[in-house]
Amino acid sequence: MFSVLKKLFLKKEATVKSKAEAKSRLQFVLVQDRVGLCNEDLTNFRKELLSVIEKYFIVNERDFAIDYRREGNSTRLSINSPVVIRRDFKKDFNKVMKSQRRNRRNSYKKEEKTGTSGFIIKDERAQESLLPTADSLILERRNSQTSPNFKRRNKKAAN
Amino acid sequence: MSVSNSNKNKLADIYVVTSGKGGVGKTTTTASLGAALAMKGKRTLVVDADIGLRNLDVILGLESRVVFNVVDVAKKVCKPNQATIKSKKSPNLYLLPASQTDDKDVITEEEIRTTLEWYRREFDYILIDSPAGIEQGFKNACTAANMALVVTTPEISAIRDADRVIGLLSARSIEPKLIVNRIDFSMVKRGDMLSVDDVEDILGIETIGIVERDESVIVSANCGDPVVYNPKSKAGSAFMRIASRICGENIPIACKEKPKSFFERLGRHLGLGQ
Repeated sequence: MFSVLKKLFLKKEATVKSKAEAKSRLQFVLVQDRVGLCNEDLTNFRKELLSVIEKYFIVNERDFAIDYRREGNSTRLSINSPVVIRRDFKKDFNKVMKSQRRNRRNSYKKEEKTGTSGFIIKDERAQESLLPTADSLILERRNSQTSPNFKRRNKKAAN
Repeated sequence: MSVSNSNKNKLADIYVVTSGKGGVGKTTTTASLGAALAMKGKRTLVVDADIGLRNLDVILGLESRVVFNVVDVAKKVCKPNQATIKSKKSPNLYLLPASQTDDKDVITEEEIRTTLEWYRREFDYILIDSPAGIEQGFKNACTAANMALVVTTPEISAIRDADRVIGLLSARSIEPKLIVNRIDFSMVKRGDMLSVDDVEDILGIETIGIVERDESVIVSANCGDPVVYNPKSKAGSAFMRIASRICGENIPIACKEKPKSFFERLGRHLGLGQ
């Protein structure tokens, strides 16, 4: 009796959810069937392709994907990879960051006396980057009136 | 067989029903779609191209009336209209059976193409039931076709074989459409079966129909009646909708899930209804 009630009121228990495994296994075999390369060749292909791209760009290896999609009788290869910036640009990037931090400190000091607004440095390319904002090149100088340091200093001065 | 064709200038579209994998429902699909098109008033010929393993006659309940077959027509042993069998239950439906004693290499692609050219002028639709595999039998079935229906079930081996067949059809410039057979929506919801979207995404072709797993298919086969003759059958209605889409009607594909209300579950567990 209890087992009948159990069947009526409780949903069927989920099994291993084998669909996801079936899908990934299928994608794996279909890639091999479509392009005619074995597993070892495919792994080597991916490694070599990644190393070529890494010569010119900083790439997140986990997000680097090669898609093999059928188009009629042939297979279309698409490379999907978030790239950050040019590799040699990173050396200059640190210098730029340092000088901007220095400028910011100087301008805060100037504003306390004169009240002029600050400057904005934006790199349009970095907006297309898929990495988190902390690594991006967008440097936006906050409005001097809302700068936390400015508020803190003014509070102290007021008190 | 009367020669009149409603539109003599228009040649019939030839559909090859294929899958790669065996046992996924090609013969059932060919028989059901043929019967459905005939019910819609279209003169339809279904051809069994599975030489040596004929089954289309049994599914349609015409096994006792087979005299000549497609090999006889190809080798000019008989006239084309002597080999076709008219269905008594559906006056617009004709069957061209396969030979049961020969094997698949007995006729060439050229012979079968010439044979089917004659029938193109007499019918509105021709459906060819292809054998499983990708050898000569499959090539013969595809040679005269200008459209293809690829039947697959949402299982890993069937999809793999269907993918290979789609590549071969594309090489012959035949644009395939997909029929997903024997889908069980409760298993899909549980995460134990690939969904129609998954199959479509993996294979990359347009779906023309979805047929749910249905016991009435087996019951109909036992009796020798195409499942579309049963108005209460889910599979029957699905095949009717696919036939309508073949005729050019725009019927959207609906993925219905099993209802989960208390009474539905109660009914199911007590063995009432579906």
